[in-house]
Order: sequence, then structure tokens, then C-alpha cells
Amino acid sequence: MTSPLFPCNMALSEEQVVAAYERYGHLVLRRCRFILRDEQLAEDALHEVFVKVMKYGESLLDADAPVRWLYRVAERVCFDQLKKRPAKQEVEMIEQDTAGRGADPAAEVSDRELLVKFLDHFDKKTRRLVLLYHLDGYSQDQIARETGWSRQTVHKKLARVHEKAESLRRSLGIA
Amino acid sequence: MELVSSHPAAYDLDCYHVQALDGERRQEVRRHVESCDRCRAYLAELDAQREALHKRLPAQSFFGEVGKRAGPCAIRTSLIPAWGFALAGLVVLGLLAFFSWPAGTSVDEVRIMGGFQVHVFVERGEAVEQVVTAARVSEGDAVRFCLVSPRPAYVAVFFMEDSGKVSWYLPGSGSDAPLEIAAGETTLPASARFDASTRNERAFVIRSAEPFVPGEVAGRVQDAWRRAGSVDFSSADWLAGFQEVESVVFEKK
Repeated sequence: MTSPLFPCNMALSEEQVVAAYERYGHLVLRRCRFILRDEQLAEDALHEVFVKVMKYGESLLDADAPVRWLYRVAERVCFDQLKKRPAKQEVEMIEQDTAGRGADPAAEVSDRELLVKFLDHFDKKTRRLVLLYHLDGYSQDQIARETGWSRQTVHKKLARVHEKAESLRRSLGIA
Repeated sequence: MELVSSHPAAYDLDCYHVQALDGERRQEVRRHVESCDRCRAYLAELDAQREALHKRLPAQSFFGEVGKRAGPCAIRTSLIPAWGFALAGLVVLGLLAFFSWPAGTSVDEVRIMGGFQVHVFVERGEAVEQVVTAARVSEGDAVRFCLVSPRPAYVAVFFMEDSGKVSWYLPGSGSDAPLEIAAGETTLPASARFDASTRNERAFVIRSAEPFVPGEVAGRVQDAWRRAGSVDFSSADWLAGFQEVESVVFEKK
């Protein structure tokens, strides 16, 4: 009796979902790609993010910062995917990445790459810290404002995160 | 030459790229970008990524895929949000109560099953009309349900054509569990839109205090209709045995 079947609890109309995808889709995909480092998984995550937009997107329309809203949803979706990925596979992916770099010193694995690869080893707040600092390019002051931590706390946490990166680097024998 | 001391955060550039920065910050970023090759290159990369994505995954096919993942039910293509229907419904109810009640209108204005009320609304263009027992509808009209329950209840809604064919509104096809609603007013999510079919249809709302299997009730309704023989579809006589079911008829123009 009706046109194609669709979700009962759809918060946004087709036009609104399509408009959100056209405007923000590439940013969401970029973030998913960055966290998951796999094109197929990133596209899958993009779909999942927009399923959530479809269901709960009314708050996206009201959000002061729609990009931040979408990034948070994307992060949750991606971290859920990372949880499903065995730790062994993570190590294999890093080894594959580093093997292709040969002896090129400019191609050393940066802290940023290493931390993002191991995001699921950190707690939720630290993951956000890593993404804000390494992906969004926030300064420590901006992170302090965003998270409500003091600047000193941000500084300490970042130092700890980088110690962890060093420790991972040593344990994996990565340059 | 780059005459900039510090670049905007990548996040700010992302927002700038999709026009999601407010006025003052937007101006700051714009001034920076005009004089910064690096940030312009970053924005150009975002442009390229957007283009590539839309080429590979056009919006309509992306939307179709997302819809499949989100689960089955009836599509809502109207821009009128859920609260818009609810508000329109309340306004209509208020007007009906205001103008009709003093004239001694029967309680049929509001459908009642043991204190449980079913309000059915048809949206036609800009107009919203409440359906009492039957409505004439045409392609593109949308229907929406608002339930008022004195206590928590389980509900399901389906449509049946006069051919006996059933299509599900809530829960979606394949689901064997009804929707649990709280006491009070519940506007059912999404609306169903009528297609070009010329078959008359009846919408059934099943309500129970206990969980039930919606498909089983729909099956019994189908059987009752088949057994009814040449009875008029728009008459509710053949539904006399279904205490837990309320229904309205939609006649196609």
C-alpha cells in the first residue's frame, strides 16, 4: 500500500537525510577512514552513522555544532568496529604498513599514526583527546575548553599518551 | 609567501568547508585561508573527497542503502516532522471538542476500546484531516496514528487491501514483536503514504495488555475476511469477533 518500506522511528525525512549526506558525508567518511584505516570498513561505518542520523537526527538539526555531533557519532561507530577487530589483526596491519616503507627515514611511523592505530587501547576520554589533538589539530587550550579539563591536565594526559606511543613503538620494534 | 603565524584547527577548516562556522569565526578563517596555501590545499582536498564520494555513492543510492539497514516500515517523505503531525492532531482534536461536544456529538468522534483511543489522521497536501471510521484517499496522501492509552500496552498496526493482502506499518515486516507503548499519548513514528493502487484498504490497530504475535492476529483477520464472502469491505460487521482490534477504512478515489 505504501511506497518502499522504511524505518518506523525515522526522525528525519528523506530530503533532510540526503541533504545531511551531501553536506557532511565526505567529512564523516574521512574520519571513519582515519580511525579504521580500511576503505570498506569506513564506508560501512559511514552507512551506520547515517542510520543513526535517520533515527536520531533531530538533535543534529538543533546542534550548535553539527560537525562535532556527527564526528562523535562516527567515533562511536568506528570504536565499536575496532572492538570487533582482533588485537592480532591490528598488529598485522601495522606490520604491513611499516614493511612497505623500506628504509625511507621520512616514512617513519609518526606518533599520530601509531596512536590512531591503537585507539582502542585507550579509554573513551583519551581517545577523544588523541582525535582532538592529532586529527582535529586542536591546541591544548582548545582541548581544555572542549573537554572541561585544565590546560595542565591536558598537557599531562598528552604526555602520558605519547609515553604509551613510545612503549608501543618499542614493543613492536617500529622505527 | 605564507604570512601566517598559526593555522586554524583542522576541525575549524572542516566546519568552514561545509559552512558550519558562525559569522565571526568564519571571517577569521576566511581571511586566513586567503593567504595560506597549506589551508587552501586542505580545503581543495576536502572538495575532491566530496566529489569522489558523491560520484561513487550518489545520494539517492546511499539513502536507499541506509534505509535498508535502518529496518523496515513505511517511508516518510514529508518534511512535516513528527511533532508537526502530533500538533496538528491536537489542534484538530481541540477544534472538534470545542465545536462538536456541546452539540451532543457521539463518542465515535474519538475511537475507544476500554479507555484506549485511536486517532487517525490523513495528511493531504497542507491539510490534515481526522478519520473517524472511513476516509477517501488518493495517491500521495499520508496516514498517521496517535494512540492514547490509560496504561502501558502493546500495539501493532497493519493495512489489508480488499484483496486480503497485508502490508505492515508497525512493527515492520519480519518482526514478531509488537511495539510497547507507555501510558499516555503516543504518536506512532513515521507515516505511511498511499501509492497508486486503486484497492480499498483497511488499517487495523491491534492493542493488548500482554505481548502478542502481530502476524497471528493479522492472519486471523485475513481468514475472517476470506470467510466473510460477499460482505462489503467497508462494513465492520465481519470484524465483530475482534475485540482487540480497531480499524478504519480508506477508500481510493
